[in-house]
Amino acid sequence: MQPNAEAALLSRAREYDQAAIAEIYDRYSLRIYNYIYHRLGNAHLAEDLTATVFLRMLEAIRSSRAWESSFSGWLYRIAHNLVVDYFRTGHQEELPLEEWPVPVNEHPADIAERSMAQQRLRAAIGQLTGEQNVVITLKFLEGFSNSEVARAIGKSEGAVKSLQFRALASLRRIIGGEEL
Amino acid sequence: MSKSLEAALDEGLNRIDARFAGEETEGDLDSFLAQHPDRADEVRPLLELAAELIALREDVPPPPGGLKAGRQRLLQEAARLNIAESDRRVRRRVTVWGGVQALMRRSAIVVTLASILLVVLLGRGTLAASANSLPGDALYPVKRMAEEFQLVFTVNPEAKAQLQQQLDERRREEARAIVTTHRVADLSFRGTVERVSPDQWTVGGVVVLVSSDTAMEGELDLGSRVRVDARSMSDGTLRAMRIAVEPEPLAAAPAPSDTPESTRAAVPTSEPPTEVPTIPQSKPTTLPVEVIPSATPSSMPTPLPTATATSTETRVPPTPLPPREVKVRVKGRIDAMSAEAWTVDGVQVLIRPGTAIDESQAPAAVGATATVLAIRNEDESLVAVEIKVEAAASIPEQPFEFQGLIESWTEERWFVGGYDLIVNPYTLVEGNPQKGLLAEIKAVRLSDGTILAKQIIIRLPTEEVQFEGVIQSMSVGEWVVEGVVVRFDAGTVVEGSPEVGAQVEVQGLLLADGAVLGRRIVVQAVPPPVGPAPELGPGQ
Repeated sequence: MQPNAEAALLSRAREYDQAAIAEIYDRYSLRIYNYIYHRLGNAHLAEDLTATVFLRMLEAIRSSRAWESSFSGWLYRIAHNLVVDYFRTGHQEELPLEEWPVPVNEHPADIAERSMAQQRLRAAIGQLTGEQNVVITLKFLEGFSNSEVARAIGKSEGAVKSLQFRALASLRRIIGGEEL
Repeated sequence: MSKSLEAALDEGLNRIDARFAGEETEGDLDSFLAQHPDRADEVRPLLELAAELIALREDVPPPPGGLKAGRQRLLQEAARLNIAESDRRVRRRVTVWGGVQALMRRSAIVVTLASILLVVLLGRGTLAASANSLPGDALYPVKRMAEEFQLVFTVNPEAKAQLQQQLDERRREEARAIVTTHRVADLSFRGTVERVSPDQWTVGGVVVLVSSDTAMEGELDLGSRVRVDARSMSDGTLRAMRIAVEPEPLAAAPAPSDTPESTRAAVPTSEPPTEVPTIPQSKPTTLPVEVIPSATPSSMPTPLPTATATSTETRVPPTPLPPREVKVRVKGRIDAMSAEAWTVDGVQVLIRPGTAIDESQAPAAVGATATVLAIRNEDESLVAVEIKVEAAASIPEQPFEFQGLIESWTEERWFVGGYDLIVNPYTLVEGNPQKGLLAEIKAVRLSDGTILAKQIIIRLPTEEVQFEGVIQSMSVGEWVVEGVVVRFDAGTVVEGSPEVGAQVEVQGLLLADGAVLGRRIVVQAVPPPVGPAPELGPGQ
């Protein structure tokens, strides 16, 4: 979307123009859903939190400080904060094992072990800073290229490379600390 | 951490991505690390971690089923906030307006005192110089003050009413004049509503632009006497900020004038400092009524005292707020419609039996553009008085698919399953149409509601039937055999010479309406010729 077109769309959304808000939702909701799903691994929860992301967007969209450079980056940060809140409350331990999609011919013990490892990894991602977290999720879990991540969060590709380096290093430290 | 390390990591990540995409093997990554021996120890664990992360991609998100509900919830919340914001704007406008009024009332004292002082000090020359001033001019307050005194000291009711009319006309002349200066200034004038359109009104010969921001107060109709508070813009337009119904002027009754200033002069309020009469009483005779030389401006420019120049551009609009009832104009897209309420531009308006809905320009439908004139109730709800649908909904072509029995067909229109279909040369028809045959329709619903068929696939029934009987009637494309309607299409084969009364064997397909689509019809026997039986004579 052209910057001018997006600016016009967001300007209308600030006035609570329903068509503009609907367009924003249609454009970003699936991406945000995928983002949250990759963080939590639970479709129902991802749908609920996606809805909450956009309600938070609506609450804050009139604020001049809502976003500085990238609207989509702002949405991802809202999503990230919600996921962090979710992990902070400890609800993730209640996730039933059957929520995790697994190959049918896999041994149950392997399924359990793999699910727990994934859960730990997701929880570790949740301890990263907001920007690191978004970069890790978009780049590795959703398969964005550096340029796509840069566009999504409103930064340069060079900044994305630096962020991914720092994020992986931080993640390694977090996981290493847990294993200790 | 150096840039080269970040670059090496990024290159390694690209190799991992390629490996997951099947373009490279694990050995390629090893060879990559071998090429960077000085970085391998640092980069390898990060690459391994990245590989674990990428493996999570295999956990593909299931298609979301609940996003539609979230969308609906979001839009409902947006509509609620939109209404709340609109209400807040109206309240703020009223509050700000009230604040401005209060400020200007206080300013009026200063203006008046300063003006009297000005008259005393500068004499009639200054007043003469102010005669042609316009809103925003430094001497304009002097002009208005002089007019005020003129009204106050006009005792004869008829003369007072006449003077008031002159002053009203002068305000309108000022409004017409100031737009030619392309100056930004606030002003007000009175007049009769002569013309109303969605974007502009004509009041007393003065054209003002109206918008959704214009506060409309009272029963506003053609012929209403109104007060207009407006702002002249640099583009030479006048934008109405507020249009309020004014009481009809009392022509001869000994009542106070309805100008803002004289109202305050005649009807004491709880704000004694604003009482103008208290000011000139000390020297009433120094300000004769004819103090305003209406058309003799001084040729000598007068220095402008700062106090007067900065006092005010527009005199006090003292019409009490809030008005008896507030009319609200809403223009925008029709978002939702029901028998009880419509939502226009996110604002819900209630529909009452008396609501006039004008569909002369376009039919009312979700997506259409409409202008609503509504009255705000005490409970903040809006009741639509008049709705004018101005532009039809720009509904994109909507795909529409269905199955139905063919009822009739021509080159341009088909009736299938109760639907009226438009067909054109681009409509793709597969099969031969026949009444009663099942047709699968792929069409689009156009913005005017018509259905344009894109593809018609005619399905032959699969249930075969076979029977024998006598042809009871024959018409084009349809026979009746033993009470059963047998239809024909291009694939029907008839063997023999059929005629009414002939015995035939029918092989066909059972249609949904009970008729049979003939596939093969064999005439078995022709009935004997009709006529008297030959008389057999004895011995034969």
